[in-house]
Amino acid sequence: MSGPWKKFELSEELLAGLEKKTARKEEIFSFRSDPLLAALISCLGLQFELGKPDQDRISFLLGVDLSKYEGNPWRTEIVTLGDQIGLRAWVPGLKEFRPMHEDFRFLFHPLSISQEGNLDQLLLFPNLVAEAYRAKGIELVVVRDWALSAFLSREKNLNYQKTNKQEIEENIALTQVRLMRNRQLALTGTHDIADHLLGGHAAGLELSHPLLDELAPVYNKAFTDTKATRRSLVLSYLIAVVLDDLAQPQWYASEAHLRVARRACRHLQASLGAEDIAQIFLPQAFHELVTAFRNRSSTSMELDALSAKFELELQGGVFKVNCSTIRQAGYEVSLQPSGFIRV
Amino acid sequence: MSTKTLTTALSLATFLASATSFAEALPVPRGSEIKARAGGCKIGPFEQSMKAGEYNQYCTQLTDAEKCLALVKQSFNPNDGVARPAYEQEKAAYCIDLLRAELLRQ
Repeated sequence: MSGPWKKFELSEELLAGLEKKTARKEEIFSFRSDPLLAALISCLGLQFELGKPDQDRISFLLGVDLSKYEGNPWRTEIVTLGDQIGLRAWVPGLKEFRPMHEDFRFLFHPLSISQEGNLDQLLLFPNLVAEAYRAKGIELVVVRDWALSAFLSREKNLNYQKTNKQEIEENIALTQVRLMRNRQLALTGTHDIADHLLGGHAAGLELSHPLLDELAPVYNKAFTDTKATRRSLVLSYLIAVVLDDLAQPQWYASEAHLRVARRACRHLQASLGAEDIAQIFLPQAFHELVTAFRNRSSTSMELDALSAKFELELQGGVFKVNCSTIRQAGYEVSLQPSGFIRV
Repeated sequence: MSTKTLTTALSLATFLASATSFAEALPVPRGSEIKARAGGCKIGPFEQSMKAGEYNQYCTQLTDAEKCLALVKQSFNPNDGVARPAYEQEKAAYCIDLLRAELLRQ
């Protein structure tokens, strides 16, 4: 396919320079403040993830089933069009993509549509996307350290879609709070598009602002006035996961998420000054709790019980009760708001 | 090397030299805060194409990188004080070359 765009040639030297320049940028920078640099980073991030089954979050939403291909079916190139830097992506043999969300119209340039009227390639110019989302009250940004650790640095290839220790140590919640407070969303990966941008709007992000107000004084005590404890960082990581969800249209103002975040915040405050844990670790209950608050059928009682289990495991305790077994024995079992079980 | 390529190369060299010096304080926003209007200034071999508002008198003191940033910002601010001129393919391409040169210089 040919068109008015031009291929932007990449080289190892250029990528090394990009890494260095990015490392000197501020922690969060918008597409408006440095459009060409931000666009290039954004395109590289999307290019890096497209077609990788453990990272690619948008192929499915475009009607591309990666499991039906041997290897990565995507072909991509960085292109320029006038003063824009963008990403061109296509799948050889695929005549038309089938977007499953109407907001893809904010993402793809009209040149993505062939003369026959088929969406047979994707042309995405991040600055134009940023402009479209600005009209919706959302500012698109690059989070320097996320870009560096995920795909820009030659040494690190951190998969942010999986739990990792680095995010805990870096206290990623602080970045999440800042982004949400300023109605900002990152655009450097497929997760950003699939989970945050499609359906995203400023009013949805603002629904979490009361929670941010509640977190602020506790975070000031936990992470500003004193050296962060390992326990605080783990609790904060749980809050970060909740916050990332709350910035997604499917979870805007989710009661379950807000409940878990508020309880984690209370526990964070209560544990200030307590003896620290020996090392950073995620208790098994962390994963159960995340699964639970993403399950719309979870009850408040279940969320509270799992939160209590998480807190106890974080403290080094053990919490193993098989309620079914107890019920089968003829006892009534109820979970108390405190997290304790009454038999 | 053609005349145009040579001119561009010289402009890039000028930019690279100026970029290393400390940005002089001016009574107009500079760096990442520069306004889109400054994109109307002369950039590299391309003469001033439109009014640059409050930047007019400072065009020569801005770096090409700053003016390119301003030019691209016009995509965000089509009515930022001046009517956007007709599509300027070569000027835009120059700015992208400038970014490439800057990255290679790192």
